[in-house]
Amino acid sequence: MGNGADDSSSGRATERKRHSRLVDFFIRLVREKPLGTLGAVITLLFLFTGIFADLLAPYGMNEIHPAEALAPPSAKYWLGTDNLGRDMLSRVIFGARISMIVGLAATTLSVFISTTIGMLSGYIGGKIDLILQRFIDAVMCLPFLPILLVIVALVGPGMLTVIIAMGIVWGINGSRWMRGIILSYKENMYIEAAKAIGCPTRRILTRHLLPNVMPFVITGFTISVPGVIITEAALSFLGFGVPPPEPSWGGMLSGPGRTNMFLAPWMAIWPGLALSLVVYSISMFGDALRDLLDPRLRGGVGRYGVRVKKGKKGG
Amino acid sequence: MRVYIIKRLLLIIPTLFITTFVVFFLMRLVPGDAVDALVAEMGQFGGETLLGESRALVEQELGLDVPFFTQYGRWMGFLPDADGSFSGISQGDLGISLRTKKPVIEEIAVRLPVTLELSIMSLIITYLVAIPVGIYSAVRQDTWGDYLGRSFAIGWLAVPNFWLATLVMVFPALWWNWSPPIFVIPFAEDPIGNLGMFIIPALIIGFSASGGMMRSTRTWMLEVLRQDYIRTAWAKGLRERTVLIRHAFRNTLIPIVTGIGYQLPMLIGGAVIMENIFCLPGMGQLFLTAINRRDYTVVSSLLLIGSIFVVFGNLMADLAYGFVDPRIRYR
Repeated sequence: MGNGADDSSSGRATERKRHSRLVDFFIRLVREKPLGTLGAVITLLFLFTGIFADLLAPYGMNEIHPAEALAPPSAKYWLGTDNLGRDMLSRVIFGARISMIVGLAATTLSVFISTTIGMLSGYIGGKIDLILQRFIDAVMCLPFLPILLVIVALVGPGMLTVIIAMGIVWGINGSRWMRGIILSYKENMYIEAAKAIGCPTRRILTRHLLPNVMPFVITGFTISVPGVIITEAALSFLGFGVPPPEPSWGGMLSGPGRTNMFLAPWMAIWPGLALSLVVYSISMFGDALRDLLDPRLRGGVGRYGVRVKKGKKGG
Repeated sequence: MRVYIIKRLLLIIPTLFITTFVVFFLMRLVPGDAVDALVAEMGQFGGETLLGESRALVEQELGLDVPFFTQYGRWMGFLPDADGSFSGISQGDLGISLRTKKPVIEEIAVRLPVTLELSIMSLIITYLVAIPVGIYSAVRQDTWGDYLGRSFAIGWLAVPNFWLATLVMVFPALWWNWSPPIFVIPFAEDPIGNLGMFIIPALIIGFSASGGMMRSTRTWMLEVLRQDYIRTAWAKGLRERTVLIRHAFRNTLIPIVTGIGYQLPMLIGGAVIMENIFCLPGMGQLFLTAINRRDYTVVSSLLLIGSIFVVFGNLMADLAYGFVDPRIRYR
């Protein structure tokens, strides 16, 4: 890793600085946060499992072997088979792909939405802020699982629906938090300086404000992914997520397979275990990332301030 | 204080008003609406129905034959219905279920006690687990007890509640031939049996929710323990018990109390899932059935009731600040 920083030293100065900061970050992660590193490694493993699912899975995700339905784990089917004789291992592997796609895509969308709303509402303020925040109040008091169920039921189940629905609901819910951060960052001197030299608002937002709140955007992202993944699984479990032939971990725990779980308990174990492991790993990594990136959340005094309380009381 | 309460109550009105609009708009968002679903079903069962005619009839019956804003006004009770009477949300009338033809309010009233009992039990379990573990973890920071407590918290955050419920349904049945009761026992007939019916889903929701709660309790307790007045309390020679309970714990009550506001949406989500798995006839189950049957009046009413719960939960939490923490003054 150290070599990477040296290689780019011949390039532009800014390039080198960015690179070495990234390397610095990894060194700190490994040194200070062993559990976070473990989480990152497992997360990456699942990510690659998802990407290379076609190569890794011994069988197709919907390939049925009716003669060997409900077979216990064996050398041929490492994790056993389900009620239709589909290999559990292959389905769990393809399930990783669905979880990762939904988790990353929905969270990206949500972070984009919450950052945009947060910047508009927090930086521009005034009437826009007032009206936008009333609307966000209204959405925030709708319990999120029921509202997602309604959206998916109305639009029709499918991966894209789930991604967009979760992205929007999560994004609107997270925008309050983002707005609070923007409110505190827009008071900085460099923003005033940019304004003084006649910088247009759009440029201030994208070039001055956004880079400075980027650590919060990144932590917001990692902190949200586990919740998004669990919610996708819960939606699929209830039959309002990624529809059945697709091997979503949540969907594998429900449906017609449920009655067969008494005969084949492994059907109840593997999808849930994979789900928990992914969520646990990303949470650990997210926590470590937050501790390393976010100076405000490192603990210690100062959070008792009035500002935090005001932000919470916004509704 | 009184001014603050009045101000907060007044602020709730626009919030809930916009919520009704969001809910209503969402329900009419999709072109293939209730009518299509109903007509399709009628076509299935009624054989050779003239689709065009029945569609108009159904639309009229559901009050969908008028423009969007008129529909909204009627639903809210601001505009007169087709027969000239005012009945809507603002009059406390939630409408009539499209499927069972019973008033929605009746449907909900039957299910409310189940969900309420489940939620209250879950909430109690959450706090019973989260607070002691969180405080212990903070007081013994970076010891084995702390590590155990924190792993416990993250473990509960990572294990999805529906998986846990599935395991509870499957494995005890396999090993000991025991399964959780999945039929309804009225409280009046058999109080113990009734509690027994709720205890397992409540334990699952409670433990799942306790992870986040425990972590915030620990963080706040850690912060409080570093304050000057705690050092003063130690310096006065007070016993550990007194310092922790009288001085430190009282000051961690704020996140614990506000936590209720954040817990409520989770409880509602948990109730939907658990009622589905354990066949409890509560509002969550009603909600899922209503979605599956495209019963929009029931769905929108339940969404509204859910958001009213959340809004008032947050209000209660905000007001409770003042009672538990004398430093907070409302203006």
